[in-house]
Amino acid sequence: MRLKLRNQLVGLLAFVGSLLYWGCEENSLPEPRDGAPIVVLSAELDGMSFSHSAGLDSVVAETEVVDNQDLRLWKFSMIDQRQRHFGRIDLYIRNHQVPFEDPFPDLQQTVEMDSFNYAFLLPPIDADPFQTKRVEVVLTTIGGVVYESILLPQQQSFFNIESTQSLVREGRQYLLTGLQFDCQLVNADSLDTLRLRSLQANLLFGGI
Amino acid sequence: MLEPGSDIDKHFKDGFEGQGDLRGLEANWEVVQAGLPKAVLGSVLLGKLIHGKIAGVSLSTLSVVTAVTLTVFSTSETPPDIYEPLGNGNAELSAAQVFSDEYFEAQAQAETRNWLATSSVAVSDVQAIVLPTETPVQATLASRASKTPIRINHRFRLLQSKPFVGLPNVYRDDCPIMPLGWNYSFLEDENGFAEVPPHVVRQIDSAVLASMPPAPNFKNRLLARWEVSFIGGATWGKGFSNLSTEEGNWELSPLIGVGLDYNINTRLGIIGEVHYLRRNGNRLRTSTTEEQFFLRREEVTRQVTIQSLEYLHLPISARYRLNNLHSFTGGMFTSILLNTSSERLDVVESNDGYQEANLGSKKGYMHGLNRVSLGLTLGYELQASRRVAFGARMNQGLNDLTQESMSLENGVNSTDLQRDYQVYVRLKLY
Repeated sequence: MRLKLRNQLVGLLAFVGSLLYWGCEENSLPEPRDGAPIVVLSAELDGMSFSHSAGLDSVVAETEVVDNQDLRLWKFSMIDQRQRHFGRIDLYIRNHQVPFEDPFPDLQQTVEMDSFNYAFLLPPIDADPFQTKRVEVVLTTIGGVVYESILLPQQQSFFNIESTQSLVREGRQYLLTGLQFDCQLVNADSLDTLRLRSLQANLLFGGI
Repeated sequence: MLEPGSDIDKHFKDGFEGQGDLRGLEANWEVVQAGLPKAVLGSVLLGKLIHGKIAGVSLSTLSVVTAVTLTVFSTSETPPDIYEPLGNGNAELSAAQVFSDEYFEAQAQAETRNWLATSSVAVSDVQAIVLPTETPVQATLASRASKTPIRINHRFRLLQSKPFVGLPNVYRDDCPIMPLGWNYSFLEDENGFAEVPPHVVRQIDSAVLASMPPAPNFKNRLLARWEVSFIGGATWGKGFSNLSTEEGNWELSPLIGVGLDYNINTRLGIIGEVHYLRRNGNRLRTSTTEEQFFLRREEVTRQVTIQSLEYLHLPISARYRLNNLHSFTGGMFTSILLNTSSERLDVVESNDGYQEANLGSKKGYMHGLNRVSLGLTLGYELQASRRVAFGARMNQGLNDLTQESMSLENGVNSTDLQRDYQVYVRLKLY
């Protein structure tokens, strides 16, 4: 009887122990942490300064990669969905060489610091079009009027990438890029020009 | 105290003389005298005191007959706790009728060299661990020489100090044998036979002991008071909700556990139990919201809706047995929260709209819940057989299961006192 009782007490302890062990599993929701916009853009447009952040005031950002034969364009867009402040700003960056098969190293090699000395310049007629990295800025106004940088010689313009940081979001790879540039934009129909000065931005490229 | 040469001696003589066989008795006295110490014999002849002892063995649930021994003692007045056997012998228990687990009658006949004794006993509460203090024993003691019985009907006090206390520690054919013994003393005075207080018998025939089941020791007595049982059943209760749009549901949940009973006596006992208890049907929601920025602003709401609460449920109750079938329990319980089962949902609201991601069932979310709850329990049990009982029980909590933070979902501080009903089967393991 004593042996029987001992066995049953052992069984009882095992039962209670397993329940308590099972009860040790505890879970909790992560503490909420409010973030700040990471995609921001500020500049002066014809002497009027503005600043926009993706996520605030109906402004959102988009990234896209456009493969076109031997060219690969990395595109960033900032869009005012309610068209209250502007229409949209698109920025295209192109590598100077045949793109890598693996896109992200290609993006890293394209968006590289201090490698855009002649970004806005049209290449000489006899030059290899792939020898220079290229940037194009397209601004669309609230009324839908399009201004582009590629149609102008861009005297006194510059373009510089100051920082890059790899990010992964929902399984996609991005490159957060800190840059600044000055450039001139023109409407192809009316030949009206706009001067975009002191543009400083943190933009995202990639999403692949 | 009686004076020498008085009542019992006279009673004996009168009885024997009535049968006209006094010479035979006298002859027998001589035989007895030859084999016994003078002091002992003297006390018998003086008729001051006769101590009788019948050590009987019977059963609780089967009419199995076992050996019965009669030892007739006689003694002198001093010292009062020393008794010598006048004679002893073995006999078979003539019958043991079992009427139920709680009542049986047994008759025993035993004889010694000089005395023939029959006795019967009716014992109630056989199932009890400890025999009642007073059990009516009817005994007939007769001299073998005279063949004339002297009938003694009296209520004798059982001597609890001896080992013949009913304990089901011996089994035969898987049925417990209830060793049952009774000692009695009788004394004649002017008003008849009077009860003698419990006393110590110094000597018991070794053959008697050898023929009997081993006497339970103190530890075995304690063990015999304990019962271990398995409990399985279901809990029915209404779940809690802190949502304004949904209520908790009435749902069945499993109940499983073990119980440990301690029988204080035939009626009262204490039951301690350890249960795994699950309470389903809850809609207890907590959520956190954070603002995230990337390509756009996203408001991420992480939502946990607790549906099941799992407890280590520890009731401790007093049991009162109304009779062989029905018993009532009442006591308190402590519930220790072990785990929960929850539905996890992430809701992302962004400039592009509303998106839900159901992350399925998750365990371990216990935020906003009290880890320990206390309450009262009240129940009833029906003993269906020796091992199986069916029970029903109500649990009423005394403190909230949820903390105040859990009640903020609908802006109302609710009172979440648990109340559930249980039905279960108790299977006695031993």
